[in-house]
Amino acid sequence: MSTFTKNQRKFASVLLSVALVSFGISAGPAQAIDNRPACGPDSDGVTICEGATTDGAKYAIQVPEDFNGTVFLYSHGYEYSIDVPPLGYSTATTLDNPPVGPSEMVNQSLLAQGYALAGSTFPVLGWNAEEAVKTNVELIGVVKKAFKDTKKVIAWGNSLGAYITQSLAEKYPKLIDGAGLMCPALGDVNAVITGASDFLWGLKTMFAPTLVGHAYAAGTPGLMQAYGDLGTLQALGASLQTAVATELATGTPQWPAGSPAATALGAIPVRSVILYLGLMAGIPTRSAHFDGVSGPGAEGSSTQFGFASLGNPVFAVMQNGFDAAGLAILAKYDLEVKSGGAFYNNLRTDYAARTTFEKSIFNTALSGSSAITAIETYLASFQVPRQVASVAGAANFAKQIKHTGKLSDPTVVLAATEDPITTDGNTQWLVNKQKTAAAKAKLLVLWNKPAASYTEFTAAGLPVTSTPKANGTGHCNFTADQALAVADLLTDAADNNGKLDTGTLRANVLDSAPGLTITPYKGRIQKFYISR
Amino acid sequence: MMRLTRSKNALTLTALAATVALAATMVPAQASTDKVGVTSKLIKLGVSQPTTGPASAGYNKVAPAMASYFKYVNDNGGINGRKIELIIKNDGYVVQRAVNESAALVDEGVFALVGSLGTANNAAVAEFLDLKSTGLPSLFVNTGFSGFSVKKDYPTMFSLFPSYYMETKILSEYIKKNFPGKKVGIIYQADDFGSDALAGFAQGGITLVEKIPYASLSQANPGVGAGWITKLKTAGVEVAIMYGVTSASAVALRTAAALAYKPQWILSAVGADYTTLISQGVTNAMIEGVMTASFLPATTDDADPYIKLFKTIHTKYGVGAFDSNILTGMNTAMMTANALKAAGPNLTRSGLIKAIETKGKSFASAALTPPTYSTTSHAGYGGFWLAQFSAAGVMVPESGKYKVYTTDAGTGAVKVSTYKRPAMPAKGLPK
Repeated sequence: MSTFTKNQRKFASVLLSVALVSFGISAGPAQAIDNRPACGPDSDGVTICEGATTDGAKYAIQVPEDFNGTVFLYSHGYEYSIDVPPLGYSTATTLDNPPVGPSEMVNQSLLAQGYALAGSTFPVLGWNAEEAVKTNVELIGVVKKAFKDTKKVIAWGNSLGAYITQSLAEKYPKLIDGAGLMCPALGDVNAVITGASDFLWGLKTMFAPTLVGHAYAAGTPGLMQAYGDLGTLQALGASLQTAVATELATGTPQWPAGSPAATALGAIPVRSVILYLGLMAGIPTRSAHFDGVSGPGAEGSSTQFGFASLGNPVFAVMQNGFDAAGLAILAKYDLEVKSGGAFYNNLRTDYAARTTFEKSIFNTALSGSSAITAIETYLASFQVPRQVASVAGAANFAKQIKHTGKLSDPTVVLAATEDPITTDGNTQWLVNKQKTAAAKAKLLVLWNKPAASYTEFTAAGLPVTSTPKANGTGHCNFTADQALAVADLLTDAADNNGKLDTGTLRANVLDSAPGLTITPYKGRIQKFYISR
Repeated sequence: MMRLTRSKNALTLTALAATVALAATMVPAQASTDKVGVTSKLIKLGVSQPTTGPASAGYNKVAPAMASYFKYVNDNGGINGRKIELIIKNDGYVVQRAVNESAALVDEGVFALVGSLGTANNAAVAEFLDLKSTGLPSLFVNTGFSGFSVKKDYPTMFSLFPSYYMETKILSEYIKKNFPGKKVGIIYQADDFGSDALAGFAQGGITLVEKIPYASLSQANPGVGAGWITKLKTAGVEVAIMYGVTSASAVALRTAAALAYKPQWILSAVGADYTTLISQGVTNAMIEGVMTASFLPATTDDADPYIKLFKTIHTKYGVGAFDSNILTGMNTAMMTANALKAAGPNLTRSGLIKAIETKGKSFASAALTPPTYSTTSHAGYGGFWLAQFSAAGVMVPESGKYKVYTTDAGTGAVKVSTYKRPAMPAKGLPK
């Protein structure tokens, strides 16, 4: 539909940042060491201790003067195991202090309430759930030994840290009194990596054959391949956003030069192909700056309607999907090294079966059933290479910790409905595992939902992407108040024989942490679990 | 001893705090939400439909017409002593917006959704609002997609229109009987709407020599209409079926006239509203002789008691000319009132669903075929009468009077219905 001004062709500012956690530290090899903490004098009424567990992980403990007996054990999120110069990331210059909580504001608030904090760097970076659980078990012992008045331990963490926390809770439920899972990866790491990898494979297949994205070479050549992929991804993002903006303005498909699928699918708009790739990978259709409903111009105008229907969800998929694809490159490289070979495998993936619902409701933006059939036929063609795991890689990768979903401790989840990395399906997986009333009573999900509409436009009608991410979008994009809501509910449960509040406290914390809701919401099951 | 300073590694989470914050929803988890939206004096209902934007043409009259009928009911004592409040939300015919607006209706505490429009929108709402688990009724959806009548998939949703599949089975019989040997072609919306139609024509034994799919909304693109007509002409199509929304029908009729292409046109029931066609540039000359189907009486049939009543209500409570969209809205509201009444004074969501399943077949309405609800099926009306537009734009029954055809959702035959619509209840209010 030709509904856009020429100005929209200039639109080229979709944020294509690759998700990064901004700190991390590489610990040395494990040594036979004394794991007792060294504590300094009080600072502002807080005793600050440091040390290292026997695996070499650095840890920190902060204990307030009026310690109330409850310790928060924090597990941080994923940190890349390699330097990533294209992204300005260096393991050598990451912070020296083990993180003890999700943010300084949260930490200070908890300390002021008399809670102690603890956390470690873990002995290795990258995907480290197995190692991190062992570190946490040891660190709990260290804390209890050093601070004899410790009565309760609340374990909590972000992203991979939530995966670690759930792993700890399942394996050692008696060591803790509650679990807080924020922006959690849950269930099976393969499910998280597969979604991002499917999108990356789709980009390679449709637009960028030079992307490696899989089975990286050993040693330095493999590292260089990963760096190259990041550069290719950034360039591709820029060209695709220009292509989509131009398509919306002209109504004519704009396939980037060198796209392998252009010959077969050239009559289909690129925007529809990108949207399909996002839907088949489970990428959310609302993002940090694209709400899936807004368009420039007056309410009810064809410009507004056209962008809302055909453009907004596509830009949302791009914003989310390129974050996920960046993760796929770096995390796959890391996990392939760890596993001794390629582990991702889409040889038999039936993408058409994975999109039965989505292609019905996004039929218009996908350019109708005929276009959908053409895209699916192309993806299923023998001419389109699939990616196959190596025997060793798959076998070793399968040894990674998986969750059972069993809850023994009160558990509070804080999950954004539009998280592009650890999608809402992770949390829904845990929800679905609770079959009995008793099991369900141990779990409370605080859904962080975006507003109905939040995309902003300039006077010229261009979408604004320079504003902060909208609430309920982005990865681990939550406020201090929202994290403290998790803490409040868990400490209350720990003080009440593990029973999560269902009355006044729940209402109060929801009131004090805008954006959260406990009204029924159904997360979208990760595609990994469908037709594999 | 190494002294650590207080962590400086503050993550940027707080700094990244959202600029747009939702008010926390304070509805606690409840064992039962069966009575939400019902007080001793009020029943709160909600509808999400496009009231603005290019896709709203004609359809923007449906929800106001529903509201008009409910005002009429309220002015006559309400249902079991309760007044009906209808909250209308504008989804602009955008899927995500329909989800958002329906969620807002839930937050506002509606008892049920009613008359929500669009196949994709209703499918998305059912999934993302988890109607299956929450038990929120979605009554008499404004679409003929056959899937919504499948109880196991949509246990709280009820169709009202006869399905597109039924419609095209019935049209198939008509085409075979009246246009034997003619080349038949179709332009269809390439989604569940069109798929239902193709399945119906296939079941009906129609060979389509030309099948032209189009993506919803693409009908507005320059050159699209000409492409359709050129293909139909080239294929020698003599009976041209346009199976899409009214704005697409308008494009087809206008372009055919411009290119001097004069087949026997057949329009889908939901794509043939006369006033909307005229508002989209179609002239009486273009529409004369065009065939379509309907399950409600003609809007011009002032001898029909329902039409007469609805026009009276519209004159008092509504605005603009009475047309098929307004008729659809009024009839949907009347069915809703019937269901609320049948559910009894102790009104619950589960009771409402049960009432439709067990008593819905006997609900009074303007339709010329009866509802087909049962404990195993949520399919709505079961048939159509066929009509041809006159030079004045009036829908004239193909045999001079209403001859209603009925069929099932499977492989059953098309039959002439023997249904005699009961007399309208007093004042058109549920008994």
